[in-house]
Amino acid sequence: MMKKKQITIALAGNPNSGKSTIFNNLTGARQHVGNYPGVTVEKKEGKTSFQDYEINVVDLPGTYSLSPYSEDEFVARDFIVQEHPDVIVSIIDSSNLERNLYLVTQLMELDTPLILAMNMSDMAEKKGQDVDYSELSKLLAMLIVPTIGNKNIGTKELLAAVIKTHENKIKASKIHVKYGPEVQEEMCKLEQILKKDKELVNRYPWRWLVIKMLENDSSVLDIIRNCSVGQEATAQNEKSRSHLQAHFGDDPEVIIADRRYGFISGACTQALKETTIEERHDLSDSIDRIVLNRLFGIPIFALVMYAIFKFTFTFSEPVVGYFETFFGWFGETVASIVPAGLFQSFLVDGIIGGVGGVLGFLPLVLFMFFAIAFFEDSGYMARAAFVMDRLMSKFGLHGKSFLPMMISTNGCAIPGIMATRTLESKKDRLITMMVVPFMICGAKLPIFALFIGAFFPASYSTNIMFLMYILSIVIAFCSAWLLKKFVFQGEVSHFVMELPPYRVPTIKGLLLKMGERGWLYVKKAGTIIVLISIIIWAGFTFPQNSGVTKEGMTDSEIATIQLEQSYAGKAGSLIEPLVKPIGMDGRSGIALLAGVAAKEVVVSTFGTIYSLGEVDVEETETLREKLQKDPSWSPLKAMSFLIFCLIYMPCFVAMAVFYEESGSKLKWTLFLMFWTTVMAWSASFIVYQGGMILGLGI
Amino acid sequence: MERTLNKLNPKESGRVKKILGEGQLRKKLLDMGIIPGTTVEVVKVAPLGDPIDIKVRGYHLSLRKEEAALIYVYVEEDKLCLS
Repeated sequence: MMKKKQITIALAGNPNSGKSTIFNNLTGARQHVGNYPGVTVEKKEGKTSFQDYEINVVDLPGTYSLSPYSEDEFVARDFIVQEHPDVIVSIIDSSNLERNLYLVTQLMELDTPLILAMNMSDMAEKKGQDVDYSELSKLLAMLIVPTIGNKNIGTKELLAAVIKTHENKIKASKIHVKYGPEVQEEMCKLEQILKKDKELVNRYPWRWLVIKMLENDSSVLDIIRNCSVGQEATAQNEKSRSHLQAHFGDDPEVIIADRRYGFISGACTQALKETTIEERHDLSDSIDRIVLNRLFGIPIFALVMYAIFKFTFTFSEPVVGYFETFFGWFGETVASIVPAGLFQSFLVDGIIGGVGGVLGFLPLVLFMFFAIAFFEDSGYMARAAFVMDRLMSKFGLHGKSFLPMMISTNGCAIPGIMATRTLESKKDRLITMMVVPFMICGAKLPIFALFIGAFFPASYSTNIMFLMYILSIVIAFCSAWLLKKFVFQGEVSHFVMELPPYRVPTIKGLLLKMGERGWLYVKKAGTIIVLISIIIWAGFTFPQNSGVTKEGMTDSEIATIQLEQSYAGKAGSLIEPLVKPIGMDGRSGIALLAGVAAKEVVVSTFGTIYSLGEVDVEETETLREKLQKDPSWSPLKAMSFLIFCLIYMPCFVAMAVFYEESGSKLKWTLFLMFWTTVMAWSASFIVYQGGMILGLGI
Repeated sequence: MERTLNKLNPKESGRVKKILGEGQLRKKLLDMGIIPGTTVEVVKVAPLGDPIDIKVRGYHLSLRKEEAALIYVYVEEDKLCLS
């Protein structure tokens, strides 16, 4: 059998051009998601066979231009420019030709063969747009294939065009935007300098480099500065730019953008037959009149958030239950097979307990990803950001920060942190990730239930709980403000965002999106979690109880002795001096330390400490009484403890995810640990010492 | 008379005269199709008064008023000023 020829094609296009749908049509199930090295941007690749070719398809993140602004766009740019795919398939939304073709004019400046997929051609036709494809194909010097992604129309033709382009080596470089003699002249000067560096022009297409230099693209200027002709080229570029500036009375980037759009409108005038595109209000505009209405905008936003929340937590509940039952059963089964002892404890408590903890969240995460994907693909997410941005930006957050915070409240910070991916600016994203863990997640709830129940009158308990929710939001917003003011000083965030037309999401698209994000969650969190759960298990297990157990001791008494002797227990007494000023003793220290594994562990650790053996987090009745009877506690201490729990470092799983999502930045992960814990301590200190001064410490 | 885009009321439109500011933001606005001569229409203001939704080149773009303040436009009824 003849071996198939291998080629790589890249799909490039604006966000919302239906690129992912085309990718799914091309590759079907033969796709996988990885990561680009060093960044959190997902790398989607897939394979397809056509004629005697094995085609590797890379789906690049959506981008509006070859000048990158977000991490996503950097990745797309780098792949297109550096990796030299055999063919670039440029996917455009035909119903929005002008802006979509803008990226195409830039792709034409590369040496890579290019074809154009005019997607959503049915929508464009409905709008009354009649394209002369052969004319446009001549004007742009590339093959054009009309496609309808959500109906899987044009997929075969697209592949045929890819092969044809590849075999005939149709170069896109035959036609370029005419920038005019003045710009052309400066381009020549720069070209001559750049071509002295052979390595540089082998790596990057020179024409693209030169235009981006004149456009003052900071990332390209960095590349130039570091090459062997850097000094000369940079000096010439400054000269050229000021020359053009003087000649046109405007910056070269304005002239260049203008010429590109000029080229596009020229091509459109020639290739569009009889267009009857009138300024009529389409369905999207009508929906927006309600959704973005001054009065209804915010209530509708609240409703949508509530719907996502409700959908995620209500529908995932039974499935989470099955998962818990399964891991419980699995643990028991393993325990019944493996003889009791250290190894059994390692397998059951250490590994199955830890991994089960993470996988237990999986249904919840999947449901949430599905709900988010629905609102993303439908076009509502952009509207939500639009509605909320005013409020959020006052605190250094972004319109899109609301969703992650919402997911974290009563839910979980892990999907919350992952949901920050939609934020473009690094600053907005990091600030959001850092404040998301302050929200009261589902795992913190049992702690609050226990302590509020034990130390405050029942008539106040709802109010105190409500106060805690308010406090968590206030703390999150204040932290965001502080971070913006002191840590990310001077870093700017913009809000220049397309409001795409509303579309009906396809089930296949939603499921694929949910699946790929869910898999990443399992892969990332899973590996780190196994390691950390082993460490935590070891901390509580070693050194082993040295045989001081006496006859007739209950299991829980033995557990208490073990706890005191373990490394974790010793750590607890070590940190006692640190927690004294906030009204806590070593035992609370151990509980807080253990709570880093997962916040609900705080409660079960108290259970162990108060010699209750295994405590079910749902039933804290007896533990509550024990706490009430313990004279070393007081309502003030309880309040201080709760405030500490509310603010201090997120659980290990959340931190592992934070580490991954922050682009494997240890610096930020350590900062998060330190910052939250210092803040928690300070807040508790103020509450406790202030309360003592006011004489509330009885 | 020219005005900055943030001063336009909903349903008012104008032609871009110049774009102030510098660096990435300005380039982003150019890339999104806001260049001198382009017609832009303010469609809506967000419920809390910021950002705004504008229509440019047949699609909707939202930007903060702070960013819209960088864009100078001739408003339609001031067409005479173009000469």
